[in-house]
Amino acid sequence: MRLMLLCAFAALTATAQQLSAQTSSISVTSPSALSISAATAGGQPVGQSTTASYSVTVVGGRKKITAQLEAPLPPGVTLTISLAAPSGAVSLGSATLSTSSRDMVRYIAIGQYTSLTVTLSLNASVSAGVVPFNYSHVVLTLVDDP
Amino acid sequence: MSRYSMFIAGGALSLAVSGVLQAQTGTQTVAFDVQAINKIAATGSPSLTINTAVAGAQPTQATSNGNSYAITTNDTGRKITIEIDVDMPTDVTLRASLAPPGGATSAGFVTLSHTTPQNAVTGISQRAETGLFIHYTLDALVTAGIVSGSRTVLLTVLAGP
Repeated sequence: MRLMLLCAFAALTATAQQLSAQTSSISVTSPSALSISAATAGGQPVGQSTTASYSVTVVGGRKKITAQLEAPLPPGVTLTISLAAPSGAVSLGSATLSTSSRDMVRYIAIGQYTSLTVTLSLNASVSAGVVPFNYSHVVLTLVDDP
Repeated sequence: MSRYSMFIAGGALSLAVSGVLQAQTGTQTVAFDVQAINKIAATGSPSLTINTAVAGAQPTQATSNGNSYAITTNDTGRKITIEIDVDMPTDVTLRASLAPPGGATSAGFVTLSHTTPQNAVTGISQRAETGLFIHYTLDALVTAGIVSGSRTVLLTVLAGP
């Protein structure tokens, strides 16, 4: 009896591993630091941009990618993001990030897509003041696209 | 619960957790900062000429009003000082007045010198403005005689009251 149960447990674990390999997923790299340090006299500080990359695997159904911040940015500071679309999908262009999720890429079909470009731009108004070195976490989520 | 049924529960839990761990999210860490920015620029090429007087009085003051400056600062508690690259000739006086950005205070007309920068505007905090006027006046006593020359006016954004 004990042997049968152990076999059943092993079978369940194997099934779990198989399912895990078949799950849609998204991963993203972190970009280089963004530092605002210049302005034209009379103008707002000059924004800075950087790029990173993301990969996405869709094993079933049609998916979309949403983006949001884990926590608000300091007042007067904005972070915008745009994601290159996988083949056949549609990028919704640039969006200003907030703690509310918003659609970035839609209609992603089954497939594995790698090294897609993420562009991030940091802007700050003078009212933001001097902002010490800081971190922001951008969350990309892969969800069903109805 | 028997040891065997606990084993089975563990297997089922393993299956369920495996699905959860494959959360379809990716998190990107973005490092950023905004450094102190203090920029100022002036426009215009003022020219002041004194060439008349009322009989019995000192020469009549010359003025120049068609000049402006722009400023950007994300700092607080800034001021603008003004100075010239070379002192004026004896008995010739160049003065300037700067319009203040919002929330700041102008010192009005100040006498320009090379040796002592003057506070022209104080109390500037986090402003980006253009088209702020600079007014100049030039005065000369008769003892100055006939003179000509040019001076470079230097505006500087500094920490200050």
